[in-house]
Amino acid sequence: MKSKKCGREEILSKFHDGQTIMTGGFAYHGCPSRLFDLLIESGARHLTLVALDASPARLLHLGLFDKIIIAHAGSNPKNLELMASGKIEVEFCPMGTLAERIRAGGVGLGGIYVKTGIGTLAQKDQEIKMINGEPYMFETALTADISLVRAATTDNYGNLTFNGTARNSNPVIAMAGDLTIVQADRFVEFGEISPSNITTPGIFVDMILKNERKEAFIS
Amino acid sequence: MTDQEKNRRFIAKKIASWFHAGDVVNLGVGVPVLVADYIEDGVTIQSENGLLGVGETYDGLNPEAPYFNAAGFSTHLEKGASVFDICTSFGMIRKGRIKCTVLGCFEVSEYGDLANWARPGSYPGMGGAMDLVTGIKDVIVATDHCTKSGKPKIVKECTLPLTGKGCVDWIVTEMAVFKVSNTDGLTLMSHRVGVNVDMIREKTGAPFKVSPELRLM
Repeated sequence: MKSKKCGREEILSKFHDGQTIMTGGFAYHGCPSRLFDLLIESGARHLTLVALDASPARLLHLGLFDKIIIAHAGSNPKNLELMASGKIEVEFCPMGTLAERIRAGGVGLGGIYVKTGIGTLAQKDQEIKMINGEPYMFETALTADISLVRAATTDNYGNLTFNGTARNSNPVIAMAGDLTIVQADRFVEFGEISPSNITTPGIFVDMILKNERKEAFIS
Repeated sequence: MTDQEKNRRFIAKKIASWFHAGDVVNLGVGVPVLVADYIEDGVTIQSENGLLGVGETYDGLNPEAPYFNAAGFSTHLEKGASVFDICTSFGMIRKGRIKCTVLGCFEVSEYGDLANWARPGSYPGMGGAMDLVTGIKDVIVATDHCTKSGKPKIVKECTLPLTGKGCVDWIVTEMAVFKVSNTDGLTLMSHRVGVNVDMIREKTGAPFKVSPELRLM
């Protein structure tokens, strides 16, 4: 089995202008912050961000994104200021719908039908379909050129475990990337994680930032 | 404690008295989260970021704690708690497994429209609120009766962007409890000691019926 561990240079070379980037984490917990550093270092611009919230705030403030698809901006006043300035295109999506659009993208579906948001600003020009007598709205699936994921444990193949609520969107975002890059707190030998305890099978992982490092959940 | 803080505690205590062991509830930020301080043992709190069995929050931020709630605060867990990914979390919400959600509001209308995520100059996004009011059967709004400047928060029509249409079942304020129907409008069910129906009408921006079994809160 070839190890998926990669050095910084190899990961840096994957980021390009105009890509769609998905990032795991919520409310600054479970974010792959060392991969954020690399994304900044790469100099890529005009990116689209897909994330539950604006936890990658420092990337936002540095002007990496032309567009963000999120459910919530968080409480950072600078985020709100930036979004109100019109410099970034913002698409809000209800969080449960957003999560499921990402999951749909990760499992090869074209989209989903949801009731959430009908009669609100979340309803734009989506197709409405009556299912069992109730209106549902069609929402397209989301995928990414690159997914950035934070895991608690990985082996060389990218079998992943997550810890606590730092799990949040990381497992689904790991599935939705055409290229999925993982930052892990801890490395273990291939085969060391009990198969029953693996949350994300390594088949969804393409690259692993080498050098484990335990970091705070909040970053 | 300021009068407003005392009033909010009063609202939280009232709502908490409706929940019993075995119920699973979701509490929004603001007044709703205070409900947690008064619920009886055996009521389970769900947090939409992926946690069932939320316990007491830590004093201050604890960067090493592996569990946090939807407001981003580090929290302890109750016995039997579970942690899961975001799709599972909103799955149990949409599937109707959660008995009740308690949310705050900027405006709530006569027929149960709720506006609680955007107002002029502040447009942070709806987060999980739209999913909560759509998926969860009982939606309780916990709110000050009026805004800081004295304007009614209960109105005929919401002017702010909606969280959901006709989704609210109960409104609990420091003055009164209303039952809300998306066909029959508001019914005053109970009021606080020292408050009468006329005083409530004066501070409410929508008409309401008075229940024949009107009681004290």
